[in-house]
Amino acid sequence: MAGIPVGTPIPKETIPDPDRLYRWVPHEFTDKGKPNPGAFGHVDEDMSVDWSKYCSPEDTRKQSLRPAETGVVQMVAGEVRQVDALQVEHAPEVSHPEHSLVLGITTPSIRRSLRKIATWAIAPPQDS
Amino acid sequence: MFSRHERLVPTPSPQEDGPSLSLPWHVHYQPIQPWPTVKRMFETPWVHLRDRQKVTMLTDSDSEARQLEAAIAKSRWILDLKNNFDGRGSPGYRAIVWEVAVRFLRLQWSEYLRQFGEAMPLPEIQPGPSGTIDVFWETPGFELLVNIPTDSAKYAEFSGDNRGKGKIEGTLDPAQPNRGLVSWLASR
Repeated sequence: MAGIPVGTPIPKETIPDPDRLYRWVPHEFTDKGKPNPGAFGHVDEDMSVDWSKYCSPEDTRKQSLRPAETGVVQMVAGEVRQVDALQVEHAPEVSHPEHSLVLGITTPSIRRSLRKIATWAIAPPQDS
Repeated sequence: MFSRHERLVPTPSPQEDGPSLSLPWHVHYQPIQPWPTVKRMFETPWVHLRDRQKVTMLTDSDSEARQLEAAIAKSRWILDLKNNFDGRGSPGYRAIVWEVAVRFLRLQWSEYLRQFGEAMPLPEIQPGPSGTIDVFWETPGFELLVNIPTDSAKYAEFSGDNRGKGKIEGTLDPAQPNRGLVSWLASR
């Protein structure tokens, strides 16, 4: 992210449909070179993603526990919004202006759909 | 003691076994079996064919059953995942949830074999979100995801499609064989 000092409060913005959302995927959630459905979402929680306006895929990967074993998927915000009326919202934090949320992930069907529209921005190492 | 079905052979033969008696002829005996010859005549071809098919089926399904058990054993690594293994605060996976997933898979596998006489396509057992476990089939023809919840009182949610031609989703009791689900799997 360029031009915004760390710690500066970021106002909440609307994420345009063409923008990308990044999410790091630990190797435990990958199989045969693909992200598992388990990589998408929590039960009864919203899914954290990073908005491409404020970060790169590499920035997202660095936030993971073991970056060397981690891949990063990317999804187009507008495509996410078309999955069962999911909502995509910017949810900036003081030290993470890129932080955003996908709201409404509740079923296996939605997780399968997200998996289908996600592509690797950074593929995980094959042997991890 | 000899039965009255003894075969009396007037000419002694050195190749035949039998008790040594001081009789003017050689006696051969065998255990009594009611109508052994008649049974064989009528049953042998059918029984032979049936048993051959049985052996073939058992051999095939045994091999597939070994693959099923290997897939189950391979998934045990999930139980080694500790709290926050993903850096997002996800809990580790409890053995009881994994066991429900394994039992679910074995039940559907057996039901599939019973209904269709062949082995079911094998899914992957994968870590799901928030301590749940996913049982996930992905083939060129279809996709099916069954999510085993952490609360054993809850039903499992499932969702599948055959590559855009049709979808199924709903809930099921993972402790029971599900004929609808198995039939759907077989029709892909």
